[in-house]
Amino acid sequence: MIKTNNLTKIYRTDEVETVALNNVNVEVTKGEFVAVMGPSGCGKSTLLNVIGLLDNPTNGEFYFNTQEVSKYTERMRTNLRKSNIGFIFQSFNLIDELTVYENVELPLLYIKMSSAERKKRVNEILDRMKIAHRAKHFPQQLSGGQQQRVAVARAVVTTPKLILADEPTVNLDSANGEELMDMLTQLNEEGTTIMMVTHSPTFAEYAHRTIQLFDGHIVTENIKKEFHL
Amino acid sequence: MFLNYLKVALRNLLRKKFYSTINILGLAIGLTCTILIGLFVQNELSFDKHHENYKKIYRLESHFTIQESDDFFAATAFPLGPALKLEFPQDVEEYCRFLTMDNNLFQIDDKKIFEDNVYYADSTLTTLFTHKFIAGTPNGALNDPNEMILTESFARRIFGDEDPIGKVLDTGYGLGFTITGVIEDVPYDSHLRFEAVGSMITLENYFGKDRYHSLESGAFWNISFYSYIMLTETGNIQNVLDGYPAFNEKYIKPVGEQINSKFQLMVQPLADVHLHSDLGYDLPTGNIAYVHTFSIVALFLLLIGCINYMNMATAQSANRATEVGIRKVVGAQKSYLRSQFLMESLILTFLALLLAFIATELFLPAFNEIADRHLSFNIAENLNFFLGIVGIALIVGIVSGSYPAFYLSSFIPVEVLKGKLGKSKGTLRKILVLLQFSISIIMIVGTFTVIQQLNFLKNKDLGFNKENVVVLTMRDTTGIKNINAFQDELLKHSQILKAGTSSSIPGQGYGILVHRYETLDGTMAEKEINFVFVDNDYIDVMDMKIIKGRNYDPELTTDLEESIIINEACANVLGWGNDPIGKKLGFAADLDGTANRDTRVIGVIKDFHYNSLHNKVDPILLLLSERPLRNISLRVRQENIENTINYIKGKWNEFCPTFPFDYTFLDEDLNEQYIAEQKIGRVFTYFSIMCIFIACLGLFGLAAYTAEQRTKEISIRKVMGASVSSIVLILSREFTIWVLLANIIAWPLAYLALKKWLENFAYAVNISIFTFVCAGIVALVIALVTVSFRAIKAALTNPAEALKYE
Repeated sequence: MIKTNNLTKIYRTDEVETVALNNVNVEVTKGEFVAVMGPSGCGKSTLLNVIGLLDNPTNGEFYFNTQEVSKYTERMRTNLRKSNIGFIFQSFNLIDELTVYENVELPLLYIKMSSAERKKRVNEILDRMKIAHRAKHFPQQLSGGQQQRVAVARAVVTTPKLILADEPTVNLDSANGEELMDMLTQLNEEGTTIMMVTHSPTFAEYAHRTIQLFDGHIVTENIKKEFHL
Repeated sequence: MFLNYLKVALRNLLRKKFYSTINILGLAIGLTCTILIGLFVQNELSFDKHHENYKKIYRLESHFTIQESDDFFAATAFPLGPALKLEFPQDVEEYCRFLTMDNNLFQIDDKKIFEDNVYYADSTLTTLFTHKFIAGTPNGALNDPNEMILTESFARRIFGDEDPIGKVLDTGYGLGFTITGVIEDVPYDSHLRFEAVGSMITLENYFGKDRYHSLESGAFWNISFYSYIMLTETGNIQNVLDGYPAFNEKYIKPVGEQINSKFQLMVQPLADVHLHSDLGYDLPTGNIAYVHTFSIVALFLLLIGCINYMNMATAQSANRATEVGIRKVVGAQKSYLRSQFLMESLILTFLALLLAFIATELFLPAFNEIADRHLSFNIAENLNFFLGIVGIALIVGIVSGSYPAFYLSSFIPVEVLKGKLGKSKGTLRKILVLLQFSISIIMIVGTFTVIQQLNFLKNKDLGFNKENVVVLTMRDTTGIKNINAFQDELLKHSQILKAGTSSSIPGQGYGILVHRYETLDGTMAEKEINFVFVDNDYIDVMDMKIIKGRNYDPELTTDLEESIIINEACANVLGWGNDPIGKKLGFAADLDGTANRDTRVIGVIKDFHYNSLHNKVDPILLLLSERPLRNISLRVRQENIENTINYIKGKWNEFCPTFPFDYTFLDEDLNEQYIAEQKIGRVFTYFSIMCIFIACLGLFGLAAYTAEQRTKEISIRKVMGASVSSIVLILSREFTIWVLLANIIAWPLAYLALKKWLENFAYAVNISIFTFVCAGIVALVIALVTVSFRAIKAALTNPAEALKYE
């Protein structure tokens, strides 16, 4: 599903040049659950952003479903992203001015789904995430765990093929963290490919495979679980 | 999707009450002022357009060239209209002339009503102009002598609820008019407004049939009529102008050659008369410059409101960044986001517009009072205007929303979601504030100068003492005959110090005639010069200063025939310089009763402003009259003025019982000349206060934003030991620089604009640098007070709170 060849990302400011990714080669198969680990500033989030089509690499090739997308324009990336990729952030990133229901509905608006279909889909997903009773609440009225469930609901409401999670458990207590991991595992078992950045070795255990990044390089890859197509 | 935008926009508005209030209030004030100014401008531009034929109607005007000096008049000669109709039948369908009816005292039974606004007009009045008849019919309403049409309100004043048709109305001169029609009041937006018109043909009896219908050349040289022509369906005014040279040759030139003068026909479309006329003998007109000025002011007000929105919206961008990031991550294209932010500014603008409509309803009566108008805002009747305002609001919404829309939609999600907001230097915001304050300073300088000029006009030494002069005008012929006895009676009162009579009073306009005068080499030349008749006492009553020679001497009977007093300007223009006494000066043309006087200059009077200060003092002659003159000027003591007036009234009723007693104070009469400026000045002041207020709202918001943005910096400084005052200083310094820079932009623009405005006055205040400095200081103080409010609050915040949050 994902394949990168010598993926490189360099950030330039007037005085400093920072190499965030240095010739990274990653391959993620459809249905896989991959954890990305490494110290702060090693390039984990950059990798996730490039794979999530939020950012273009400076060099190298990036295949998404066999399409080479590293030179896509913003508009093309947005189009590809909105129906294929769901994001979960550590700080939940819900829109404060929208209710739980409206936050979850948002991605469906941008893929121009009909209103009836949207309603059905949002309610289904809210039920599934056990947050339906909070549909009319605003994010500030929810606990951290509930907010992250809303964020997951928003990420999966378009049934994306790939979910990218950037340290999704950091702002959660351990019980809520485990609950989230169970949710991700369940989505993965249903066929969604998942790539998750984490600092926690415990939560990395949930993945099939862990990639260790250091200074923009992949240093090790260890397979925790057998994964078969 | 639209619903989603709407929801977010409204929730954002409610959540950010402070910024929303600043934005909506600023835009609402701007839009309210725009609507008011719009109504004013619309009214100015609509003059005379209610006449169905207005596009075909032209006013005839006169351009005289006498002795190489040009004069332009709104009035024309009696036969001009008929002759044009006769000579250009293909183009000129009809003409209509108006002549002011003097001394109109209307009497019915015991009731006496005096009315100034009365004209004689041709029966074609109803052919050219559109007047709605309430009683009687337009056809033939003025066909016969001694017929009259009244306006509805004038008819009511005289006849109450009775039907006036067929009734006979006496004027004070034994001249009776039969009422043949009542029309709706002449609308305010007409350059020629009247209360009554008598049939022009009435004058046939006075002139005699031959003279009334004469097209002889001499008749073309006496101008006292406002003439209008209406073109035929296929008519073209250019044909008339092209044919004019031949017309001139035939009708006008014969006498023109004799008196060494030329007459050139001028025409002006009816709808242009109000705003584009600047002629002698004209009716009160508007001024296109005010239309332009106020339109610019409206633009300024809206611009300042828009800038507030742009500044507030981009300043709050930090708060919206996450939202933009998320929307982009879940699939929003830039264009979606742009529409969303544009939608928000449109929603806000339309909320402001709603408020503006309400405010207009509330403030329109006050505005009418200040500007002396009769404006109304009725959407159904003025749909185009309403749509225009909605259009303007749309543009305002788009203009103010577009920059934030582009700015916000360009956020890069990866960065904003990490909380890294590209540190904008806010250069554009600074430029916008600079612009706002430039506009405000221009308005402040403008207001100061307008006030200064108005005070200058009020207080300028006019060359005579205008204070404590009571003016009476005798309209009654028997009264005028007894005027000397009347004056003697008045002077018996201890509070009445002096009395004198004249043919005209300052500010009222004077006669002009061609005079013969002695040149330096002793030969005689001709020149048009203003003149006024005075009696022996008038110069003394008015406190005019004789700077050379002497005043008229009642003991010297020869003064009447042989002497003349001139003003300084006259001595200079005729080239007599310092030695005018004894120079010869006489009438070139006949003047009834005083024909062919050959006089010598006995005195020179210090220039006095007999016209408004819009004009330079022209040469004028003060001629001694042997006949009683109708204007009596009384110098009175200020004390017990009421008692004095009562005494005058008592005597008036003895000597002049036919006419109701009426008096004015000279200083008040003179102030009337500047009433237009005073109104404009007042309106301008209010609008400029609004301008500054909106700009300050914006500045206040921006100061709040800056303080918010620099919370961390302020906290660290406080931790390091900075005092409250030093922090206020830091926050204010930046704004101080902007406001000071704004002066650099504002001063030259304000200078140019004011110089142009002051050119309207022959006598104007000097534009002083002091005014500019003052305006700069006022703007700075207002800005600093505004900013300090917020800066002090920021400086007083507990630094621990801020740093913890960071």
